[in-house]
Amino acid sequence: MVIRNGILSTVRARGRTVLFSLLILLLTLSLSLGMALWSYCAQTLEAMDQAYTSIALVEHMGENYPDPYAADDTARQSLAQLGDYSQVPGVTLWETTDWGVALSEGYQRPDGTIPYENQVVLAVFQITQKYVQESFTIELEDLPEEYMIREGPTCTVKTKEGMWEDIQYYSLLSSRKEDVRVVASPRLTLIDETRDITLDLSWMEEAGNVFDRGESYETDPATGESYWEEYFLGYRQAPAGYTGIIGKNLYSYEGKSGVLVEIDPGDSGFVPEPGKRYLLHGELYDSGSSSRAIRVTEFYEGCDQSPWVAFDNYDDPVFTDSIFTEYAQKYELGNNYMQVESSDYIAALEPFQQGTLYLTDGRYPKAGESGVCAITQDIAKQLNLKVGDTISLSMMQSTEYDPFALGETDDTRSWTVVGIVNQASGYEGRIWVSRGEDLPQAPLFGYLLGRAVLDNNRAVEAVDQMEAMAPDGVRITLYDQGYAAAAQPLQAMESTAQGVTFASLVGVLAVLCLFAFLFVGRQQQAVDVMVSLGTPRGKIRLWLLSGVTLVAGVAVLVGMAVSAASMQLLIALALQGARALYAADRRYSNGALGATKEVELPQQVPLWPALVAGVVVFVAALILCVAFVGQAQRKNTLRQGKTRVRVPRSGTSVAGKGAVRFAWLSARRGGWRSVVVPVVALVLSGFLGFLMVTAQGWESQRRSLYDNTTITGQFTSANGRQYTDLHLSDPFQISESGMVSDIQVYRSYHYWLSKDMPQFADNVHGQDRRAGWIEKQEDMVFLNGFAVAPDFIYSEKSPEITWLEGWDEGFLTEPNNYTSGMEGITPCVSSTRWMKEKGVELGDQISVYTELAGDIPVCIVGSFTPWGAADNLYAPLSCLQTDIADYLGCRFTLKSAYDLDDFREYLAQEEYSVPGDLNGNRIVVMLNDSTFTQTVEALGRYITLSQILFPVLFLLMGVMGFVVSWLMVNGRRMEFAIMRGLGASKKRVFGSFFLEQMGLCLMGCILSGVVLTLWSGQPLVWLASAGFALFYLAGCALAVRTVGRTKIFTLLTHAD
Amino acid sequence: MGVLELRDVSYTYQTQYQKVEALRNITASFDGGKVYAVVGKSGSGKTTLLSLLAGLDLPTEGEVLCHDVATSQMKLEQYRREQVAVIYQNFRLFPLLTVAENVMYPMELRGTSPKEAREKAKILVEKVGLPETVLGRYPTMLSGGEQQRVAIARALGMDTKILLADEPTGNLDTANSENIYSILQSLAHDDGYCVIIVTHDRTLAQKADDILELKDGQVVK
Repeated sequence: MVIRNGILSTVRARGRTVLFSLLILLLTLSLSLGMALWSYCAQTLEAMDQAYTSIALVEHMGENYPDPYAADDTARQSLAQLGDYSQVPGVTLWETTDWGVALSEGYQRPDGTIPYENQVVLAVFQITQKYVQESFTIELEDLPEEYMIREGPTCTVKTKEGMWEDIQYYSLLSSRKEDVRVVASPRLTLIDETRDITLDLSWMEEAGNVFDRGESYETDPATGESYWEEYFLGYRQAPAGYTGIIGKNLYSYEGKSGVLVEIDPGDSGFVPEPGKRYLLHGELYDSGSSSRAIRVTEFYEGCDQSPWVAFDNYDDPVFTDSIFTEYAQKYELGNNYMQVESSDYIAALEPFQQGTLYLTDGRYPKAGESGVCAITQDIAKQLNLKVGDTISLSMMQSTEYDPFALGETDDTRSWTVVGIVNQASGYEGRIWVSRGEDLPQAPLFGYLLGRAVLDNNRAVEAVDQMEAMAPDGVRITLYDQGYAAAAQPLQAMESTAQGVTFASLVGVLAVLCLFAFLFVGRQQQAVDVMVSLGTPRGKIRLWLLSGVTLVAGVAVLVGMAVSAASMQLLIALALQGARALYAADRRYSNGALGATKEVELPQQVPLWPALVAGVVVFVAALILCVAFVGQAQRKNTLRQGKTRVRVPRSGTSVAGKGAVRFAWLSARRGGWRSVVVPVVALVLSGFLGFLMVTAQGWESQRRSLYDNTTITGQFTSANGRQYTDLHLSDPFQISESGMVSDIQVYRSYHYWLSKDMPQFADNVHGQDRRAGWIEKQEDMVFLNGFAVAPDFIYSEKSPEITWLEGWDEGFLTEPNNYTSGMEGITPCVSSTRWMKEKGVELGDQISVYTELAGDIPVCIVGSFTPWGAADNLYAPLSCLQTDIADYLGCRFTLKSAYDLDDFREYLAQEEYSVPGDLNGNRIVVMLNDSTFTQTVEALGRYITLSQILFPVLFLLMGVMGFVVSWLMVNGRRMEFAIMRGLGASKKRVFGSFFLEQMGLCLMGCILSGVVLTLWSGQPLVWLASAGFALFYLAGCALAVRTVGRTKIFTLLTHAD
Repeated sequence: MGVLELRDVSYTYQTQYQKVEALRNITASFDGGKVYAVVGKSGSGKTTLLSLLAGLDLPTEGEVLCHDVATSQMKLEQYRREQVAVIYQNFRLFPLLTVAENVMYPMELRGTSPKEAREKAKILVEKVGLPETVLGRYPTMLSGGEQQRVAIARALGMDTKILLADEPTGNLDTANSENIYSILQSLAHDDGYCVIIVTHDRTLAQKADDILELKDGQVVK
């Protein structure tokens, strides 16, 4: 009965019940959806975090980068200087490169993957001198008595007999030196096919008496007059190495003997004694069907043992125990090496993380696990291994400068194969074990110093910190498998969902407070009746709670049901919206290098948030109602003790007049009521103002970021890792976008000092060796900015250059401003090491030689301390007096960070390839924007969130202000009625209450405005204060007008 | 012709559930210098009658005339401000104004300056038998009888000759009731006020000069 009456008395207040049922339903729905979205995003992000692996490669940008097997001392120094990256926040694992070599019986590396394919150790016999024809110039007066001049289709021949004969000079062949063919050395035979005769001119060849006549256009430096000068080009036979027959192969990849071999002594000084047999160490540089060509080379640089030795027969000890047999064995072994790499997170090694390698069977060895390994398929096939089998290996020791020059050790290992990895080019013969295996210490080869596994969400931050710690010449590259781009919409959605959940909770509390107050707290009349009838307290409580439980329960249940039914669709829509809003454009970004992983998002949305939201709302409703039950019952309890009443200090006030007077007195003496309004106004308008200031702060930060960030970019190799030695035909084309400035390019040529170049034979082999020598020389780099220089392009740091007085970096772009009095001299910046080595000082002039421009007089105008091994010279690009077909590197700066998106679009339209796009062009464009983009995106997310939430919260706060003012005025109905009963005009009554509320509200709003303005310096906060005040005063005005419309009679009757 | 007159007055109002005919065809006249008691059972229409006389509303039919002018022809606010003063059972004092400020309020409505009103309030409070010390106090600091005297002082401050009292002794003990009645009686007999008291207290009604008895919205006596 009690419950029935309680329910009936509640639901019969139809309007109020419907209103609050709807409010509770909507809030349950909103809370449930907010929580569901939050939970979905959190779960999905968690799953994505598990699926994606972000790594940072730490590489030394050395001279031979990216050669993975280069032995570079500067890279080893960098490794020694590396900080402890494991302490960097966001780094979950830091491992330096650790790999060694091993051998396993029966394993042979596939063709093309062996390190010593061209090395040979051969026994050669029948060695004879070989001649080749070479040209030389001769003056007319120096021509011998007997000679032949080739001139067009005829030539003049002075025969042996002293007769001059003009002969038809080849109808078949042109009049070039190629037409003089060796038929059988040393005979030179002139073939005249038109006369069907063969003229023996071997005597001429021997004497070098065959000439081409030509003319060259010369200018007399004295008179400046030009003239044709006649010259003669002669041909002669010159010794060019040796030929022999291969008698025995101690080592060659093909292992053939009995074939002709051409022997180039190279720089070895090999001069065979006639008729002797020799054992040679060298390298194969040409291979024909019936002959081979080798160059005799030293065993290793600086080795004082001769790479050749004469022998009598194959029983000679040199065939059993010598450096030749040692090297033959080394090559044999090295060619079948296996590379064993250790890591505690094999799946995060670059080739695995980038998807080049993957498990085809089994699993990876776990961190610290010993006795197990994963192998590549080629090993598995050759050794017939499968998961669970055991592989036995002999660990080998590399020499310091050759990873494959294997020295045997007594370290043998047997590992159980737990995983088999696919076979990919460049990854043959690989074995992976955990760090627990403790591989033998090996020197660093290649340029990969180490690798950090990163927390996906803090990857960019971690890389920034790692970069700050990195020594000169070390670059950190982030590969996140596209996590940042994929997670961005979900993170944005999660933030929004958190906001919605928070706002819903606030709304739930506000509405439920009002609900409890109206449905329970204000039921004193009913409680009075029940108390007067002697109803027990428990039953009164039951009466009061039964109705609200039903109303709240039904509303919550419907809210939960609607939420559960619509959740899937709403979340799909939200995800779609978030993707459209927050899809991060990371094309061309250095934050989006490498392969991108596609992870399928879960389709099912959990239903528990609907249940939890319903329970939360229902329980909160019950708790608040129970709290207000106490209030309703307390009204009917006699208060103990005396009520303290404060006598007004001034007694009777005569201050003010009319409505203002009443408002003033009422506000001054209103007690808690006069405190509540300013406090509510202060808190709510302050909250809104704070949100506004925070959002404004984010906006300012974003603007400031755009204004103060300089975004650079460069052309790189396809994987985004190599910025130098590219061949860019027209890098300046990007300037057509109108969005880039400061395009820096460089072109380099090998240079040397003339005195440093050794003598090379003037023949094919000599030129070949000369080209090889030039290839090893340092570069003279012509550029228009130091940032693009190979020494500095990988470093964000500017070079510290010591300048000759009056010089600075501007000489690279405007050399004419600096070179007054230095006509014909190229100003250069060099390394201090080079200067010391060459004995030059700042301001000294020196002549360097380049193949392209010959001798170049240079003046050293600046010097820097090098971090690498290179001693390049840097000169202005405009000093390069030649057309440049291609540039080797290009770096540029965006005019404004605001142009970033448009520039990406431009690059896409112009079909520039993006880093990591292996199907695109080999050279790609990369923008160094990852930190900027991530920060801007985070700020954008907050700003959008605030833009979504602010109106909702503003409305919510406004409504709360409205309700508070409504309640405040409605609580004054009796005074209202008295005034009207005494004949006060409506205007005056309105003024009395409105002015009072306005004063109190403005007090709080102004205070919050002042405090926030002082704190933030943003006058914008006054908008929040004004907005809230408007809501409050609107509520107040509406309440006064509504009360005013009520009949005074009714008011007086019900005022109590 | 009385100071206040009811001519065939009917009053009907609609509640959420029913239409109520509170007064039906009432005709009555009230003169100055006399105390009238309006009696009747609960729901007989006493308070409704008083509200119409007080200008809180207009009759749905008939007229309420004050000095021969129908209230429907007047501005009710002005009528309430200048023609009638009402004393309520629950005193109806502004809780946040002092006794003096409560008494001064209707005077100020009529344009009296606060200073002048305060002087006059002092006199009126004395006149209803309250000490000067109460002037600076809030009504809640006074007893029921004292509050009712303040209400009477406020009514006197309105400077009208028609005084309407709705159960003026309803919340008071016998001694206080008698005191209040004697003040009202004195105002009628000595100062010429037309005092109309709505009461269900038969004893009090018997003391009045004239009694108007209502039953079911109609005058029965």
